[in-house]
Amino acid sequence: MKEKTVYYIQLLTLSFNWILAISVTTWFVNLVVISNQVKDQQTASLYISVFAITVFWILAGVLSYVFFSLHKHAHEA
Amino acid sequence: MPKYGMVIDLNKCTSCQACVTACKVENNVQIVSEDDAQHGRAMFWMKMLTMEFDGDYPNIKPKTLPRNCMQCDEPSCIKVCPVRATYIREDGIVAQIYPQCIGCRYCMANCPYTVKVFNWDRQAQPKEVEKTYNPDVSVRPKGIVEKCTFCVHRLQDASEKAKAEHRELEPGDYVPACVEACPVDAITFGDLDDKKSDVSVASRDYRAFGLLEELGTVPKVRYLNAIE
Amino acid sequence: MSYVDLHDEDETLFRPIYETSKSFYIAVVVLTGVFLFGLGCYIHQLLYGLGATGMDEPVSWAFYIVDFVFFIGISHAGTLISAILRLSKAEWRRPITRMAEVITGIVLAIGGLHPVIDLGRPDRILHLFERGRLQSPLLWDLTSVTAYFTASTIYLYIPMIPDIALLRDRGGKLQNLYKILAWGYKGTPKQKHALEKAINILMVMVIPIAISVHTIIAWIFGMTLQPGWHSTIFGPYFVVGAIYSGIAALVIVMIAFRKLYHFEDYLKEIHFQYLGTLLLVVSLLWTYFTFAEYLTTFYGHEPAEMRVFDYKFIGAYWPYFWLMVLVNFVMPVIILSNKKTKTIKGILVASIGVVIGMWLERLIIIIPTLANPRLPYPTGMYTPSITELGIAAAATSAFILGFMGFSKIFPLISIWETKEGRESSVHEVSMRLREYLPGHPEEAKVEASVKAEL
Repeated sequence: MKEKTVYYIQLLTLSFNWILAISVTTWFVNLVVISNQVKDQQTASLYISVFAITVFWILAGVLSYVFFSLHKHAHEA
Repeated sequence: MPKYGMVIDLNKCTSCQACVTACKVENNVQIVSEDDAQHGRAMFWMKMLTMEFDGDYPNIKPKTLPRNCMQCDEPSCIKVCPVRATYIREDGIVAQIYPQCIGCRYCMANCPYTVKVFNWDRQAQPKEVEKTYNPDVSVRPKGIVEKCTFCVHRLQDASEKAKAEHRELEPGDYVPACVEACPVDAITFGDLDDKKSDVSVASRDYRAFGLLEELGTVPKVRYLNAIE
Repeated sequence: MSYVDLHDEDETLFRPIYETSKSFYIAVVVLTGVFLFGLGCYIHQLLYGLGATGMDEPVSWAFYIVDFVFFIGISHAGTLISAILRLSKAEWRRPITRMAEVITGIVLAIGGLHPVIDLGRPDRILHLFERGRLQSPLLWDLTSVTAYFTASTIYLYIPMIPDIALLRDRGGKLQNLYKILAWGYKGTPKQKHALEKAINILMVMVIPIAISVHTIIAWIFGMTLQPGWHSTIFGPYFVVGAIYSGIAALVIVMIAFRKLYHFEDYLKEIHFQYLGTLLLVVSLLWTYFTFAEYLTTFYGHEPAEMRVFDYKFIGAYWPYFWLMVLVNFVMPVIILSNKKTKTIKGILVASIGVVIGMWLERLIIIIPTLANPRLPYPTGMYTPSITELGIAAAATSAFILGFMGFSKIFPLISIWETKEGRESSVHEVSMRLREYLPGHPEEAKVEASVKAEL
């Protein structure tokens, strides 16, 4: 396989993680809005969503950090 | 807004189970196969519980108690439902939304009264039963949880009728099937917030108690203790 | 260049990827058969409804939920243990971490599916995303299991990158896959540094996530009003139980694949000795929690609680309860605290006992409570149906299949970490030791740098 193709496939797999993080975020925002509408416990909803959203974003961030620094430093001694 | 409640007088109750049958017919509750029934999957929204046995054999006097959904003010089933398939209405009725239920059965596990029943499977009903289905109540598919709703469809009927006749809903317009069927008038039903209503007076009687009240579920179905 | 021409110091670790024995294929066929049977059972359940199971009116949660809690418990083997060992710089972790992390990934996927199997209407699963309610512990659970699965997969993958690069450089099969997954790793110092940094962040993150997962699973029960469940101790109790069953499962897997792939030179007796000690400690901790939980129940003597208590101790569940005490406390403590019996075989026996015992513990926590409702209903007795047993068997074989499949693509023991251990850790550890000892650490450092220059 060509270097370029490999790189694009890698980018694609990496973007899955961002898609996951973004969809988790939208999902939680949606759920918090719903919990507001049906008058559920607000605090529980907020705590959990803040916790979950942070975790997924950090994970995606760490993965991207590794990916880009590996590629950046691939040709150094 | 009224707050519907029920008081069951155990002094009057003869354990005839008319309420049990009336409820089952009114709400199209599934009749399960014999196999399933023996397996403990019989479905009742209103159930006659034997609380204790007095006396020795053969002169046994069982103490029974008709139990439907307690329509708690602080329902433990609603707290845990992940999809809002059960919710509390403004008039205090704990209602079910059948098309919403995913069948996780968390509410069953958390109901201290064990009132929720699950459609383990769907069996062919006897022909006579199918002919007499109540058109006001949906027939539930397999895999979802159901329970007593204080015959909420009757409330809808009654309020629509009252509206058509340009008048307010009066006490007695709306009563659940079990109340109607009771031959000894052991069950009183009505607005708990109306201090003068029969049910409100009865609920403040010295004999009145709520089942497992100590759990803080604030049941709106109350009982009048049987006194010899 | 075929792999035969290559000769690496750690050739044993590469071999399973390129060589497959006949018995491996036989095992795959058998396990696939079991898995397909379980799949058939599930399809039957889908068509017929949950009536195909042995569940009934008071016992409305049973086998699936037991397996769910059990499998998620096993998943704590991995990431949590490997993160703790990495964090505490335990040098003997090197051949263990990879396997532990793989167990986590596979078992989490299987365990996480169990609540879906348990649903009456799996076709409505999307309701959880459209209009779920965050105040329900089930949603907390969904969140934490997803987070743990993502975190542990990344935590498995990132430390594997150097190994994938090694495989890529060898050429041969799956060349393109390795090329993609290696992310252009060449082993330059800066790349190494980036990887190390990421691993450090991840291992600190993974520990609280792992603990939260099992705490939240405990809360599914703890948040209810039911006797035997409504207990504040449940969160930590479940976490300890999870780590306990996790270590035991890890030991079993390690011993099995050590034999299968001839890893004797890498997984030495000392590793099992250390894991055995860890198992002993957690065993005592688990016993302490169990004792505390039941003694308070017994002393309080609340009628509803006592019905559940009696059901476990002298009622219908007494054989399971006392068997659990035997295999979770008596047996491991006797075997592991005795030098003569604390051999690899002994540790294996203890671990198998613990895995069975921890499954029983989940059973004993879940069913007796449901079988003894507060109001006087007929007490429920539950027997699983063939459907449930079939699905449980399928889940187990899916785990083994997944592990075997993994071992054919990636090395089961971290190669670069082994090499790193050989090359630099001996020196590093002696340095570290020097620092603990009285005297001047600076002198030691100077001495070390002089040595390094030489």
